[in-house]
Amino acid sequence: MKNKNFEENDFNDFVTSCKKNVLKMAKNGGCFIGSAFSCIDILAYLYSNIFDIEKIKKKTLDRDILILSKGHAVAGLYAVLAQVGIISKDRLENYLTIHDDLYWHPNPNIPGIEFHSGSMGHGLSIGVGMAFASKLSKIDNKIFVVLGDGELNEGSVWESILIANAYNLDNLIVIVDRNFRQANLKTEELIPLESLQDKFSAFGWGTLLCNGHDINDIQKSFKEISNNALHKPKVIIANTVRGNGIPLMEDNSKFWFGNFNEKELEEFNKILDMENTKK
Amino acid sequence: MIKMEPYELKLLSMIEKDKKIVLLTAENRVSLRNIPEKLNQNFIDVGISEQNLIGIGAGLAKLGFLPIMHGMSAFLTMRAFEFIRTDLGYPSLPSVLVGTFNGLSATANGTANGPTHQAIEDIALMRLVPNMTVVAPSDLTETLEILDNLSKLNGPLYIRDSNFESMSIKRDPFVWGKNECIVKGDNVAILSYGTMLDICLKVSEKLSEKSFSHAVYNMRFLKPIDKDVLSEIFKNFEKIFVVEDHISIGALGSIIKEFAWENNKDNKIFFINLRESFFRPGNFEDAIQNTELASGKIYGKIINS
Repeated sequence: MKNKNFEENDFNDFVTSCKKNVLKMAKNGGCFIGSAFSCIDILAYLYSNIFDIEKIKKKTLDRDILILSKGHAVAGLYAVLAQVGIISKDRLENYLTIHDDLYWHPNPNIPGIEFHSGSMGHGLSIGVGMAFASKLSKIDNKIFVVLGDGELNEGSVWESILIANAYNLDNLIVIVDRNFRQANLKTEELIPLESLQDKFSAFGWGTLLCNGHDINDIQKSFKEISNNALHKPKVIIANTVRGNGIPLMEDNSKFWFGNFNEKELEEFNKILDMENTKK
Repeated sequence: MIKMEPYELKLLSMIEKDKKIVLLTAENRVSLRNIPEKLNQNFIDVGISEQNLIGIGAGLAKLGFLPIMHGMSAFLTMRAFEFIRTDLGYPSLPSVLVGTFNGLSATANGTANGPTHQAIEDIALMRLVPNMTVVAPSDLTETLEILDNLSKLNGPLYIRDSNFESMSIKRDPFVWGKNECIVKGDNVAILSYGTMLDICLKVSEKLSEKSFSHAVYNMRFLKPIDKDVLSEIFKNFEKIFVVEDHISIGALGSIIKEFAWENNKDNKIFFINLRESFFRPGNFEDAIQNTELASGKIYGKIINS
C-alpha cells in the first residue's frame, strides 16, 4: 500500500468530475446517487492515491483488491474507474444498455470490479476469503471492503467480523460508509448501530474514525492504518453524508436513488462546480 | 500414532500435490477429525457460520484456490443457499461442497437428529443452482473417485456424502458424469443413489431369490443427468422404480418425470420417497421402517407391481 502525493485542489477536481459522471448515469436511467456520493471521496482517494492502477489493469497477483459490498453505490465506482482509466469514459455511455454490464450493481465483467455484489452482507465474507488467499500465497497486498452501515443489519457481516479477528487477518481493511441512513430510515431509528466503533473494538478489530468527505482526514486515516503494526483486521468508520456535495440531496431520503431529466442534470452540474470553488 | 481415515488421507495427498486446495469447514469435523494437526494453512474452520463458509470459499476460488467446503447438508444447502447460488453458482467458480448427514443417513445414526438436521430437499436445492454439478455417491469408494476428478470442474460441485464406508460390490470403473448399472436384468429397473442404493441392493437380493428379473441402477450423477443411461432405461424396462431418501419434489423422481415428458415416454413409473414430509427421528433401523423406504416395503411394491 503506497501513499502518493497529491494536491488537495486536484483531488477536489477529480471528485467533481467523477460526480458529474454519476449525475449523467442518474440521467441515463437512474442510479443510487445518494449512496454513490456518500462513499465517492473514499473510492476516489483509494484509486488516486493508494492503488497501483497498472497492477489492477493487468490483474497482477499482488494488486490491492477492493470489494464494494454496498453494491448499489456502484455508479460512484464506475465513475472513479473511468477517471483513473481502468475503463474508458466512453464506456460509461453504455450505462444500462443491454450489451454491456454497467447496471445498478457491480459485475466483474467490468475491469476493476473484482467480485459481483448487490445482495447485502456478502462482500465481507468474500473479502475474508481473499485475505486468506493472500496469506496462503504469501502475497503482501491489502483487501479493502466497503460496507454500508445499513448493511451491518446482516448477521453474515458479523460472522465475518468474528472470523477475521480469529485468524488475525491484518491484510483486511474495512471501510464503513457511515451515513446513518439505510434504504428508508435512519439507522439509529431502525436498528441502532452505536457505538459502532466500540462494537468493532470489542470484536478485536483495530478501529479508526474519520470524516469521509475530508480528504486530509481520509489521508491521515489511511496513513495511520498502513503504519499500524497491529496484527488484526482494521476498520475505518468514515462518517459521511448521503448525497454529499449537492445540498438539496444531502441526507434527504428522497435522493437515495436519483433519476433526473436534462434540466435537473444541468442544474446539479452547476451546483457541483459552485461547491467545488467554495472549497 | 493417529489412525487417518481414507477420506482424510486422500485429501492430504491431494494437498501435498496441489497447494491450491484448501479445506474448509463450518465446524463440522466428522470426516476431518485428524486433518487440523496435519495441515497448517490449508485448513480453515470458520466456526458455525455456513454463509461465511461459502463466501470465504468464493473469495478463495476467485483468486485461484480450490475450496473444499464441509458442512452438514441441511445447514450447508439451506442456511447458505443464497451464498451458494449467488457467490459460487452465478460466477461458476470451481469449488466443492461436501454435505454430510443427508436423507436417511445411516452413518453415525444420522437419523436420530430430528427435523432441524434433516436434509431431505438438498438435491432439489442444489439442482436449482446455475452451473452446479450434483453427485450423490453411495459409498466411500465413490466419494474418493469423485475427489480424483476435481480437475474436471468448471463450476461448483455438491457432493451428497452419505456413507463413509465402502460397499463390497462389483462395479464398473468410475467414469465422471456417468451413472452405472450394478445389477443387470429385465422388466423392472430400480433407480437409486446414496444411502438408498445399499437398501435397494438388499431388495435386489430378495428379488433374485424369487427369480424376479430386474436391474439396479446407481444414479449418482443427478446434475447434469446422464441421458445415455436414462435412454437405455426407458428403452429396456417397462416398469421403473425411483427410490430416494428425499422429498418427492425436485430430485431423481422429478428428473425422471421431466425426462419422460420431454421424450414422450409412457413407461410405468413408481416413486418411492419421503413424499413431502419430515421423517420420524430415531435409530436408523427404526427410522427407515417408519417410512416407505424400508427394504421390505420396497420389495412388496415391486413384486406386486
